[in-house]
Amino acid sequence: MAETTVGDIMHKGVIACKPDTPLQEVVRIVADTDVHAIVVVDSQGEVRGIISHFDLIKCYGTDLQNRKAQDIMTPEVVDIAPTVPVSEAVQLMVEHDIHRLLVTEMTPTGKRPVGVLSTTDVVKDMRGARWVWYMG
Amino acid sequence: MTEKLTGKLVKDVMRRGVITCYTGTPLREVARIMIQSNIREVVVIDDRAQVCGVISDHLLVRKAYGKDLDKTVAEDILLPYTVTISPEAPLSEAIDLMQKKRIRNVVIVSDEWEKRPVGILSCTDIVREMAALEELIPPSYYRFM
Repeated sequence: MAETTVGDIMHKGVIACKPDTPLQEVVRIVADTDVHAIVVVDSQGEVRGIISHFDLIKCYGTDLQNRKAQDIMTPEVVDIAPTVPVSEAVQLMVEHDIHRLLVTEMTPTGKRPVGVLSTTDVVKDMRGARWVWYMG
Repeated sequence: MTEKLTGKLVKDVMRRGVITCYTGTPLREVARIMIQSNIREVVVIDDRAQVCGVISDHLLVRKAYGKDLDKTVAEDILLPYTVTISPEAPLSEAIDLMQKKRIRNVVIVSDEWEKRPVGILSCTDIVREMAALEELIPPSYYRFM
């Protein structure tokens, strides 16, 4: 059997905001869409950073209206291609001690985000297909 | 801290009812519990229902990816439980604790029964609380989702 690739198990689609989106809006999007991280993309579609729940809770109790996404985002985003085997992605996650990788595709205009691979997606893959554990 | 946020306690925001597994639960079952309950951390308890540790999705991936999940049990990989907070503590104290220890979830233990889990407070709960405080959505809408 061919090895599972990142593209097979990743969460397709990326929820994004702009660097100048107010944090109030960011919090609303994150709570509404139930994602664990939001990608910060500039007007050219280039990835600038990522904001996780962990970054957001630092702002608890502060004025969210006057602060912007770029003030709290983590600028280093670790990305991976959808064709890479999952085992390699896991290695990368462990190495960097992170919970998610941004899946990007190379296009003529540059790297374009196509999805997110989180630890939850990997656990889902580890659990196996439904019929395997129902039979147990 | 702005004025409107003072007085929130951990018990107001935490999720009641902790999803647990036993120390002897196979990891495949742990993975299944995690996905089915849509959570990122399972609390591991012993047969006296006292907290022994936690298994997060990140830990599960780091320690068990590519291994036989039916032969490894929760006890083998769990993160021994060290961080604790009371339900009566202020929320800001819990946030400080999470940041200092760099953890995403805190297990709330009861004051009366030693080491019995009564709730869990995650980053998600705090972010929802922040969104609710901005008065864009009523908190009750999320509590029962």
